[in-house]
Amino acid sequence: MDWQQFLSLIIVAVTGLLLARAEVRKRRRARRTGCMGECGCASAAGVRTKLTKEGR
Amino acid sequence: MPASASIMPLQIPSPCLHMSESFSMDEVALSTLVPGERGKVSRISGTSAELRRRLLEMGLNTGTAIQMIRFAPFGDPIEIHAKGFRLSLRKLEAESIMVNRELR
Amino acid sequence: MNVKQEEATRVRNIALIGNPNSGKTTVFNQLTGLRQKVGNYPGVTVEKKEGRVPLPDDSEASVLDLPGTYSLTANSPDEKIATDILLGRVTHTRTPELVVCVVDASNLERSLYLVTQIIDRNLPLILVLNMMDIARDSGIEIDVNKLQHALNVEVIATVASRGTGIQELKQAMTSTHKATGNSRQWRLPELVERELAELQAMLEQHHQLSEPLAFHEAVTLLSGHNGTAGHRNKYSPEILDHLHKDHARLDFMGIDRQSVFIESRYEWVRRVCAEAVITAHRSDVTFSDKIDGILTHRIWGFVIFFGLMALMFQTIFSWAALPMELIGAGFDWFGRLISDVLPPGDLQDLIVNGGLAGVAAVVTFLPQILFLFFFLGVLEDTGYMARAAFIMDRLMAKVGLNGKSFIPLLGSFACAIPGIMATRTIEHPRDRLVTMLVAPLMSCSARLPVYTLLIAAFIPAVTVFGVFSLAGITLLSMYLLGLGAALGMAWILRRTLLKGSPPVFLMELPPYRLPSLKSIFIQMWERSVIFLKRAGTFILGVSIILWFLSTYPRFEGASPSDQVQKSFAGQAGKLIEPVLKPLGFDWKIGIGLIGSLLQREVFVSTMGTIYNIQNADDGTGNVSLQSRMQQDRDPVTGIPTFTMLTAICVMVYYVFAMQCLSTVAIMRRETNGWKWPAFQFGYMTLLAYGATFITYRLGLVLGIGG
Repeated sequence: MDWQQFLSLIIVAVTGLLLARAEVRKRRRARRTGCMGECGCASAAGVRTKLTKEGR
Repeated sequence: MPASASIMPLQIPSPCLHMSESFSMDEVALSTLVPGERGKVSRISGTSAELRRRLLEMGLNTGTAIQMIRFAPFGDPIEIHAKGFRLSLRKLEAESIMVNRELR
Repeated sequence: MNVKQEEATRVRNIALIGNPNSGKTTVFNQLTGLRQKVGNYPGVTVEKKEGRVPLPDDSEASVLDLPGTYSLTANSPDEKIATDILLGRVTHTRTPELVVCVVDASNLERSLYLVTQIIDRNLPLILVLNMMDIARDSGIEIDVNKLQHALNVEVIATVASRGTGIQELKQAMTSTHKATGNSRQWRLPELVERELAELQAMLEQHHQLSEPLAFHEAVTLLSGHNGTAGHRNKYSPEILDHLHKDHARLDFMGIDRQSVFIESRYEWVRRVCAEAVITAHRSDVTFSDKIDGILTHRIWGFVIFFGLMALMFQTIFSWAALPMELIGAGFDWFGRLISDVLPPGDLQDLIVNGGLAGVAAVVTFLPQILFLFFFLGVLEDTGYMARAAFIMDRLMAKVGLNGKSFIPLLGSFACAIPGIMATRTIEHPRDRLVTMLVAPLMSCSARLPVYTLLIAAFIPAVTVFGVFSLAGITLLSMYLLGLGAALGMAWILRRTLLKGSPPVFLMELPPYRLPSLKSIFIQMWERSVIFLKRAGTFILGVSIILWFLSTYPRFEGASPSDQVQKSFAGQAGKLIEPVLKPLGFDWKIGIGLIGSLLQREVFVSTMGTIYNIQNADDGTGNVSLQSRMQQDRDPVTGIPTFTMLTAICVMVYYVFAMQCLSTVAIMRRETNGWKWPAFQFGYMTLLAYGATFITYRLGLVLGIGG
C-alpha cells in the first residue's frame, strides 16, 4: 500500500465519520427546530411561497 | 316617511323610497352583479356558520359598500372591492351575500 | 444576565402581528436585519420566526413574527397560534410584553378589526401605520394624532420598505406602554354586554381564568353554536347552563349572536376612521386595477400567465448557460492543477475523480437554481402570485381544490419542502393534505441538474418556431408533466381517499408593487450560501464515499470500467439492475438512483464520479461529463448506455419519483404520523416506475433510439 492509497483511505474513513455525525446531529437538531431533514432546502432561505405576500 | 326610510336598514317596499337616491329596492345576491355595479351588503345567509363568520370578519358586514370588479379568466371566481381592498371569492360563496344594488 | 435586562421597563419580549399584505414582514426585516432564526412552535406545524432587535437604549428585544392573520378567531392553524401566543397559552413561549400591530394605511377600516381583538387581550400595544406613501398616493390622509386619540394607543407612521419611521418605532419599543385592556371601546348592545360580563365573571371564578382569557372564552361561547356538546368537558355545569339560557335569551330578542360581536367591532372602527381618515379623492380604478385589467383579462390573463411560465423556463435554461460553463471551466482548471502537483495514485484519484468531479457536477447548476428563485421571488413580491391563484382557481376547483393550493404547488418548483409548509394557509385540513401529498410531483430545483445534464447531452440542439429551443421545450414539458401529474393525482385523491365538499375560496388581492430587489437578492444570497455549504460538505462527503465504493474492492489488472462494475457500488447497481432493465436503465443509472434518495442532485455527481473513474485511463482530465455519457458503451454488447430515449426515461422517472428523504421527514412532521409519508412514497414510486415503463416501451415502438 503506497502513501497515496493509505492517505486516501484515511480521508474516506474520516469523511464517513463526519457524515455520520452530521446526520445524527441534524436529526437531533431537526427535532428541536423543526426544519426536519435537509435544512438546506427548507427554512428561511427558501422562496417565501406563501399565498399571502407578507408585504415586502 | 322619508325620514323613517333613512333609519331602517331593511328594505320595506314603499313608494317613498323611490325618492331617495342612495337606496335601491334591489336586494340581490352578490353573484348576480356585473362588473362595475355597486351595492351595500345587507346580510349574509344560506351558508355555514363558519363561512359566514369569515366573510363578516373580512369586512363584508351590513352596510359595507362593495363594487363588483371582474370575473376571472375562466368565469370564476369574482373580484370585488370592499372597505378599501380587493377580495376574490367564488360565485358559490357570493350567492350567499345579499346586497342592496345601487341603481344608476 | 446583566442589570439592564432585569429592569422592569426594559421590554424583552415583543410580538409582531398584522394582516397579510400589511408589510409586516418588511417591518420585521427592517427591525431585525439578518438576526433572524426560524423554528417551530411546540406541537403545531406553524413556523416560528424570531429575531433580535437592538434598541436605542442599548438593550435588546426579542421579536416574534406571528403569522399574518385577519382575526384572532382561529380559522386556521396560523390564526390559532397567533391567538394562543397573545393569550399566553403556548408552552415554552412567553406571553409577549408588547404587541406591535402593523396595518396597511390604505386599508385601515378592515385592518382595525384585528386591532380591536388585540386590545381585548389587555396587552401593551403599538400600532404601526405602514405603507403611508401608497395611502397618500391614493388620496388617503390619516391624522395620526386623531387616530392615536381615538384608539388610545400609540401610533407610529412608517414606510417600512424605505425604512421611514423605523427609528421612531424602535424608540417607541423601548418605553413602557400601559396595557390596553381597560380601554376596550367598542360596545355591544346593552343586553349582550350584560350577558358577556356575567359569563366572563363566571369563567374567571370557576376556572381561574385570567381576565383577558375569560373575556375571549366568553365571546367565543356567546357567539357560537347553540349546541354546547363540544364544551361539555371543558366547562362547569353552571356555566353551560347559564350559557344555554344566554343563547335562548339573545335568540329570543332577535339578536344575531354570531354577527353582533363582529358588527359592533366594525361599528366602532367605522367611527374611528370617520374621525381620523380623510379621503381627498379616491379613484375607484387604481393603477393595480389597470394592470389587472390585462393580467387577469378573461382571455389574455391565462395566455399571459402561461407565456410567463414558458418564458421563465426558457430564460433559466439559456441565460444560465454561460455562468455554468465558466464554473465548469474553473473546476476543470483546478482538477488539472491537482493532477500536475500530485503524482498519479489513489490520492490524486480521490481528489480529482471523486471529490472534485462530484462537487463540480452539482455546483455547476447553481446559476440555474438562482435564476429560478429570482423569477419566483419577483412574481411573489410584485403580488402576481395572488393573481395566479385567482386565475387558476377554476382549474383547481375541477380537481377539488382551490386557488390557494396553487401557490404552494408553484413554490414547489423551487423546493417541495417550503411548498409543503406553505400549505398551512389552506384552511381545510383535508385540502391541505391533498396539496401536500401531490406537491413533490412539481419538479423541484434539485431535479433541474438532472434534467439539464440529460437534455444537454441527449436532446438535439434544434429550434422550434425560431424562438424556443427543443431543449427549452423538453424542459418545459417535464415541468408540465409534473404539474399534470399533481393535478391528476389530486383529482384522484379527492374522489377516493379524501372525498368531501368543495373548498371555499376567499382571498385578498394585494395591490401590485415594485419588487424589492434587495430582499430578493438577499434571499438568493442566503440560498447560494446554503447550497454551496451543502455542496462543499455533504455532497463532497458523499462523493468521496462513493469514490471509495466504486473503487474498492480492487482487482489487479482490471480495466477501469470493469473495476467500477465489480466495486461495492457497482455490485449494488447490478443487484437492482434486473428491476431497472424493463425501464431501459443499466446498473450505472441504478447507482445514481440509489444515491438520489439522499438528494436528487447526487445523481449528477454520481454520474460525474463514476464516469470519471471509469474513463480514468484515457489521459485527459477534462473531458466533459456529457460527452463521456454520450460515448459510454456497454463493453460487451457495444450498445450505448444512454440514448435519447434512455435520457427521456430517466427524466420521466425523476418527474414522478419520490426520492427526497427530507420531504418524507417534513411530511411526517406536518401530518403527525408515518401513514401519509409512507403512502406518498409508495404511490409516487409506483407512478415513477409505471410511467417510465410506458415511456420506454412507447419509445421503442415509435423507434426513438433504442
